[in-house]
Amino acid sequence: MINRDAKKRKFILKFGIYLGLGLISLIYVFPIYWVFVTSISGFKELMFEPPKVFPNAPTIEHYIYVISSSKYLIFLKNSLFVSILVSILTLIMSVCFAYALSNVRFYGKYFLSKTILMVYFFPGILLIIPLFQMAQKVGLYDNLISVVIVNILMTLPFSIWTLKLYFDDIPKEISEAAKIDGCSRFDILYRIFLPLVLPGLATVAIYSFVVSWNDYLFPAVLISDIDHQTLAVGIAGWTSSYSINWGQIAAASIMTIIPIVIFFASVGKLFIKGLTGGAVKG
Amino acid sequence: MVEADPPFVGLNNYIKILWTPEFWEEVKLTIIWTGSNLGLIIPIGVLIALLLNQEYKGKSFFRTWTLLPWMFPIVVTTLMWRWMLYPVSGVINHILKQIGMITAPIEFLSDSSIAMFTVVLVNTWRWTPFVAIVILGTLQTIPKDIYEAATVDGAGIFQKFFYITLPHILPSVIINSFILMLWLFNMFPPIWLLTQGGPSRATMTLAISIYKKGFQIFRMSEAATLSIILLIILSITTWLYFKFVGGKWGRLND
Repeated sequence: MINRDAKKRKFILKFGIYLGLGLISLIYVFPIYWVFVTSISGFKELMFEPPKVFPNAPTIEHYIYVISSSKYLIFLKNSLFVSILVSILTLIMSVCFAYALSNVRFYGKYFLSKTILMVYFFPGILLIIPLFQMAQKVGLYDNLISVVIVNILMTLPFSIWTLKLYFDDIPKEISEAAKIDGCSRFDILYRIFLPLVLPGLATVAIYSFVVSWNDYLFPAVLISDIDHQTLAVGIAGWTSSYSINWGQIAAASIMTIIPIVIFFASVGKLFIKGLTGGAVKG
Repeated sequence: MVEADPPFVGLNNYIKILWTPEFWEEVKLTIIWTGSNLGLIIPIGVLIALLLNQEYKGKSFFRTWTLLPWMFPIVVTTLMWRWMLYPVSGVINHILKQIGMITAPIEFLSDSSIAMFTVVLVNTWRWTPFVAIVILGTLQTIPKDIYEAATVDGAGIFQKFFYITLPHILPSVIINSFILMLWLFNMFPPIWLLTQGGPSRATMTLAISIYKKGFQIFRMSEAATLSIILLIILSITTWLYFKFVGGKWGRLND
């Protein structure tokens, strides 16, 4: 009797789990599926006919238009420039900074690590006025370099903090032994520490790439020439024209998220591990 | 764009802003925006995390891909929702009509009484996966044998949740709610891309107001004043957090 009850309860639990998972999947997959459907529906079908689960006459006209006649490729080039530069520079700077915080004694360390967290907490809109004026004063307004610099400012706190947690995990004995054997500080970092924290490095690189790839606010404010614009702001700009062609926006959106999906498929697990690692230790 | 040689005005800008009813309206909307987002994202995120933490087929798949919507550009997800929420050609209204829930299309984004509600829901859609994955990370650090011991002692599902799971994840939930609150307080893109603060100021939070003042009507000093007021509000909040929840703060740092 007890056995049967337990079985029944287990069945209900399993059923509930799958029902919940199904529901969540639906809520998250449907909008993405809908963008895809929109991107392959003709303009007339989109504007004048009721929405359909699949278009009657699928077309790739929007993709062709976006690639050949819009500024999509220019935006793409600018976005790649910003994101690649941001992730490389963030990586270099956060490795140095985190190593110092974790392994070097210096005056003001506590204050410095607290200040970094403040930047992490108060991002974006608060800094937009001074950053805009500074960019104008130093002649970096309407220059992608300013977007790169500001994005590094935004990605550094999380990156430093993540890497510091990884560095803290490495036993002190290892670096002491290396020091006795005559390793310089740089050698210790390069030969011993970095190979041990590869998941952390991957997390930082992905995080800073994605953050700068998705950033909307800073390019919107710091860039005025449309030929210098990044993908996020460029695509958003298409909605301010007189008649919005959602098919083109959807096509551009699909092409913008594909790199992220591929990225995620290859290293997503590593990234989740790094992201939750902070929560685990923190 | 910027006044060539602005005169020194002391605290006049602050006094001027603090006396306008618009400012207090914006503060109220910002608090509504932050509060309702937190109230939805955190409980739903924890629920999803608990669900993902169960045993089921395709576990590792779900535990990884849940984060994907959060990684998409905010412009893409927000514009996608704007398109789906269109009154006539939007798919949401179409579905609601088909299943007979409504007769006339709902103006999700241009009806000032529900615009804020809509924007909050769209933002909840985006941020819940992030919270779920972070809380899931904490859930996985709870040793399994505690649950086994509790089962042997005859504890039910709810007892296990309230006496084991909840105390374990609470510090992580609190610190993440706090960080998310600070982010929400000055979150700009979702509201801007959906409503630009409208219709008739129904979604005009402080962040939107700063951007509008600074880059649309070019009143830089007013925008800067608002930024500083926002900074003061956030600093006081952080200070209060330090003071009253301080013990958990250390867990974040080291």
